[in-house]
Amino acid sequence: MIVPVRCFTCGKVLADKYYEFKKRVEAGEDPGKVLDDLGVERYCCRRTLLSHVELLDQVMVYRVY
Amino acid sequence: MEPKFQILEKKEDSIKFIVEGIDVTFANALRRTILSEVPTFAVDEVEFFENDSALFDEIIAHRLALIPLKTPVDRFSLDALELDDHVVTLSLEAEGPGIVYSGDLKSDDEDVKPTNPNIPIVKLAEKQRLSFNAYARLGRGKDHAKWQPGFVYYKYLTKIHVSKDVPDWKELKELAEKRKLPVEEKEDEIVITTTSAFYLPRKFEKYVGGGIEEEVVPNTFVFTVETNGELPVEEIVSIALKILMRKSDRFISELHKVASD
Ligand SMILES: [Zn+2]
Repeated sequence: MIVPVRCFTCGKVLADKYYEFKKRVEAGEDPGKVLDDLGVERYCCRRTLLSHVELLDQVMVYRVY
Repeated sequence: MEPKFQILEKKEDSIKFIVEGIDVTFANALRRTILSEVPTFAVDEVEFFENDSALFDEIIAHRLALIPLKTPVDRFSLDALELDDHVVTLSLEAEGPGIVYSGDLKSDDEDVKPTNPNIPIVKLAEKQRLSFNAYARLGRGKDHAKWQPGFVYYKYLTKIHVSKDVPDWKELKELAEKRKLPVEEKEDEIVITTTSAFYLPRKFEKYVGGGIEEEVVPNTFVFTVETNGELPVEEIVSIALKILMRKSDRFISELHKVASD
């Protein structure tokens, strides 16, 4: 739905890095290099950012109640 | 043997050090004390007044809890076995469109506030409103992971002996140097000291036990401690050691009581 605040496995704070990660990858940079740059070292954290799908943008246009 | 400390690397949010003269039981006790006993502030209760966002109250409350909050070391006795009962209120009022960040939270205590202002809490569409009061308390990692001060791990310090009979041993030397591991070259072998994880490339696996041997340096551990920002790293380690000491003291005095009955 929305980026997880922390890595599911180790608890490192990741949410603050996601929008920069997304922007740079969409601009054509190599995802691996961007993750290195952002200081996301462990593979648990890397998969958390890499595999996230931001569905909230699609959902938030509907009224909840 | 008196334990010896050697700091290998110190960054703003992490520290790496070698401890010599302790055994695994103590190393693990230190690790577990850091993870489950060092207290920090975290949001524990949220009162919602308005939430039109697409995320449920519970999800937002959960996200708020995971935001690291600066914990003032000098104001609270963090190494005590009893926690101070102090509540900090973080309030927020926002209207869409836009992203609500941790930096938008208003704290009633200047010393206790989000360490990182860029954590997105929720996205709001046009006219959606969000307003709540969040109450932060001191707590420990053993009750909920949101109160963990950071992350810690250790490994045995080992020395990898690579005989010069192993073809391509130079490749291993280069690899170790690239990883910034100390390499000592002797007449007939090289010795790699693994101050951080070192994995042998697959092509060298067949020499393990033959030309390549791993020697565990007894009673020596390489610790890495990371902080989420709540507390400085050195404080995390020293608070953990003090708590461990206090608990051991209490254990001994309880034992004395039992013995004297
Ligand atoms: Zn992780």
